[in-house]
Amino acid sequence: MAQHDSDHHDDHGHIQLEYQPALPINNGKVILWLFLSTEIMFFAGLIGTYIVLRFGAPAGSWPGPHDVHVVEKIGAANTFVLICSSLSIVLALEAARANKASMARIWFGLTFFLATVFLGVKAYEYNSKFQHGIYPQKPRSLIYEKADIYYVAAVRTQLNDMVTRWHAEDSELANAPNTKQLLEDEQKAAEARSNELKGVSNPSAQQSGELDQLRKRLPEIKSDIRDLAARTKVLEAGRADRADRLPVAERLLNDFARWSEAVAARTDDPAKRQAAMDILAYQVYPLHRDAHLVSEYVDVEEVDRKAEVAELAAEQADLKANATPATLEALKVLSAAPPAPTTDAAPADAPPPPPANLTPEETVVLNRLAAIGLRLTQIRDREVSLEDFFGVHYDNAKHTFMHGDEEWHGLNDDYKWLKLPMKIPSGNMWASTYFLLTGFHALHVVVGLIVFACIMPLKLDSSRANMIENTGLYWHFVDLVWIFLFPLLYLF
Amino acid sequence: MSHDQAAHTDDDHDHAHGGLGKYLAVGAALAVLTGISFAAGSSPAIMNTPQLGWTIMIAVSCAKAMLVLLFFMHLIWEANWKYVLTVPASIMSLFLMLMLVPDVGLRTRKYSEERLLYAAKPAVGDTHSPLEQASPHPEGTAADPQKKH
Repeated sequence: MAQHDSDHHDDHGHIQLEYQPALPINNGKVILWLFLSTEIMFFAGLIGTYIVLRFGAPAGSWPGPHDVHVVEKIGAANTFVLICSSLSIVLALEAARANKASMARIWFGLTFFLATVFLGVKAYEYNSKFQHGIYPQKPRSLIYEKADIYYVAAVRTQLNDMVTRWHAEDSELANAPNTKQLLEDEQKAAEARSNELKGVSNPSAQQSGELDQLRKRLPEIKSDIRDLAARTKVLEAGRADRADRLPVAERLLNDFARWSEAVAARTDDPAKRQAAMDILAYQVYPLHRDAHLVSEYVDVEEVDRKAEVAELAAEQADLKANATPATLEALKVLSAAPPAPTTDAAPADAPPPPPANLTPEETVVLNRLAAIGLRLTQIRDREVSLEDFFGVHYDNAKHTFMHGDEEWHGLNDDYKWLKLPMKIPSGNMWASTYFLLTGFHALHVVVGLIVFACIMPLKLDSSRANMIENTGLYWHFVDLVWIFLFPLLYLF
Repeated sequence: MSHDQAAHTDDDHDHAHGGLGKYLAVGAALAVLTGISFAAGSSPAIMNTPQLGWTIMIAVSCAKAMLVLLFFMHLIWEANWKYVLTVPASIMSLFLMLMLVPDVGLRTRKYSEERLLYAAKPAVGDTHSPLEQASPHPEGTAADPQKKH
């Protein structure tokens, strides 16, 4: 906007310099747009990486929104909230320019409120992911990329740890009265003895030593009794939960985790090995795309089980027909014995010693009959457990799995306390990128909130219009980033 | 004096541009576009051809971005400096994304069998990987009576 007046020609030859602004906008706006260019690069790096990772993942392996508890409706609602906040901040600018300071403050307040609504919805979404064990990182993340032997071992280890720990807590609780009695007896004896020693007028060295020891020991006993009481209270509080959960965990440990691990380790057919592991992963956390595995493998396993049962039953009948009465008698005794414990802590591979009156041949027959009986029981338990879980079918209309009439979402959903590792292909990469992208965006929203909080107390008249415009520019950029994040994370 | 002129220029723009009606119209357009994007992403018919769905959604996102940039951020009423600040950054962003494609984007194309073993496993039948072909689908072995294990 230079003025090219001939009036400014100086007869002495000096050139009259005039200040020319490089850009027809105030400095704050220049700086902010430069900052926004850097922000474009920042988010381009993050979003570009996400796009490349997502489309470069092995074909068909990126988790769909339903697999990772992403609800599109909530994302759309959040988008709408941010759009409204963009609108309200531009209306704040208009009000400020028209010198309506109180209206501007009201619009700013609305923007602030909408931004907090956005953050609240985001917090709700994050919480729902955490509840399902989806974290950006191990060790809290329960996500495994594929159902291999490490996955099955992790499931079995977790179930075994649960069962062992609960059995130990139950027996500790059962023993608590005994322990308490022992401590109280010791306390009484110690008090009696120390009173006796105190009554001695000229104590010998040994007696003084003993009295000192008792003096030290008595407070220890007291605190032990207190600790025992507190511990008993804690164990008692957990007793009902343990009673509910222990049978479920034991059944899952034996009939699901250990069964799958046995098949995966010993079957000749590699496809069946993989299918057994996939089925376990499916039971814990079903993915839509693996639905066909259910019906196919279930049929195959049923055929195998029936064949095995028929073979074992024939062998059992044959052995029993040819067995001596002593053997059959010993078998009855064995069958009546209590069942072996289920945990790894006391493996059931040491059978009770056979009665002394059997010959070696009879002992061999007895052991074989016992082994057949055990295997048949295992197969029957597996079938009973499967009936509960494999009444499952996929309902195309409702887009979900159904167990009879109810929706079914896997073991982790049926029993919220289970929190077993789950298989989500490319799940860890998905979780990393999702939390990084939305986390950085949320941080930018928080920065915006801080700026709003600093601005709202001021008088928002037309002299502050530039500052408000710049704030608005930042906020619109935050909205822009979300406009791209929403379809990428929720709808793709 | 030119400083005054700069301020004067800004004021000129303010009175002539913007306005409640325009902003409300743009806000409504943004809401409608969000709805279109959501409907496209959730409709099984469109997402049966995922590429169609993705194109629609990216186009909608670009349209929404342009609306916010032009109207809410006032760029439509600004002088040519807006190109200087936005175009190079956008070009670099696009270039960054494209340059990552042959590097990380195609990382699984030439994986060896052993490498594929440790990659995330896709659903059965979704790839043409040699690993999938080596381990046949359980369906293929159902006919064989399985000896006891």
